[in-house]
Amino acid sequence: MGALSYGGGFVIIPLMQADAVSHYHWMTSGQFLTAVALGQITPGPLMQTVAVIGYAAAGLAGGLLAAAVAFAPSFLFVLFGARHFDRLRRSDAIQSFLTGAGPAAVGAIAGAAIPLAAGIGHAWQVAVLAAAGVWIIGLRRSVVIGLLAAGLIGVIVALAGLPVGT
Amino acid sequence: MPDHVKSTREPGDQLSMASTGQHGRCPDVFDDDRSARRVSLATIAREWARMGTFGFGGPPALITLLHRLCVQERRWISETEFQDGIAAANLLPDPAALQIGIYCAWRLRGAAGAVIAGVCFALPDVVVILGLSVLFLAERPSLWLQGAAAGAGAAVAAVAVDAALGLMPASWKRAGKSRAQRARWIGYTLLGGTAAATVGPYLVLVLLACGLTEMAARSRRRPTHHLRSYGALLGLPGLPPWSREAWAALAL
Repeated sequence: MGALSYGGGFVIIPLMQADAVSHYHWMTSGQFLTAVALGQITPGPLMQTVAVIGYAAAGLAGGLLAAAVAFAPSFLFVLFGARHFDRLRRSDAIQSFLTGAGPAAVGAIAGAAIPLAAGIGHAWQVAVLAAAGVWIIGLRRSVVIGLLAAGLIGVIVALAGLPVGT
Repeated sequence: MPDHVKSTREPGDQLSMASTGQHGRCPDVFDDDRSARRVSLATIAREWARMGTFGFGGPPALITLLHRLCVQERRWISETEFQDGIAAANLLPDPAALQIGIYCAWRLRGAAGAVIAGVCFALPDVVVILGLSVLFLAERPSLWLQGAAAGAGAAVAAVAVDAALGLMPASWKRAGKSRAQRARWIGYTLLGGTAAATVGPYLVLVLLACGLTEMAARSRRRPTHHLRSYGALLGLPGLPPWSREAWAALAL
């Protein structure tokens, strides 16, 4: 996963979702959405969502192993490639490759919203998604605060007796 | 900016004016006219752990904290070195903030600094998120935890769209100004979006295909020639070309 995350952690969301939910059945769609939300709310990169999936697959050891493996490419790139960063920046070939892969990654991040939205199971969650869209996209406000507020709404909904299970 | 990052130089940091090159590490680290300060591994561990623990706000916030610590306040590395690190990290997969954090420490203390910084940078987040996983993925979580998870989870699709919108202007600018270049950009974006929504596990093939298509469109050179650039990135300049290309293919 780590070696494929061009353009940010959201690029690998569809890959993670397909593996964790559809293929290996380590978690439900709702739990996967929670994992992504946790990856956003906590400090650090979204890539650490893989730790949640590793935990769902094999407990704490699985979470630690998943994080270690996902972050390993960062260490390898710097330890073995940092001396060549300047050459990398000046490479026409790599610049051309990324000029093509970059917009595809951007499209993939936007496209990831579709399976993520499809994981919603209750009508009240659609309203929460719409409100989050207005807050985060329309008003350009904080993502973390938006997610925390959405979580708070979920708590109120749960305590009010509406369905929240996955 | 959080107070924890504003800490000033401390007596135990063992700062000296010795060039890192004299110790066999990163001979090009301080090759400008500034004097190099030797930063202790303990300082790297402490500062990187602080950033990893309190760096709320995602990669931009983490990169800002790194810049303030390493460039503005301690003057451990130059602005140019830092910008080079950002530019290179943006060309690579995996989290850019983590890579820049590791890169800065590598400039300071070579491989040992890089490993310690990376672990200290990432570990607090992993511990926090695993702690939350224990709570939220429990077999029977409390009702309010279920509600919080369902509420926050419902909003993540909006976060994905926001992330894509944030990346689009720079990507569009990079595409070029000709009609053909912009048409290809639109095509790549639509392909990526469609693939993410429909063929999740094979998305990476679409990304690679778009990158290779653009390479072919911009150059008449053979793809194997381009792959050597990735081989160089992997630090294998002394090996014969065929082996570097094998590594490059593996990386791709």
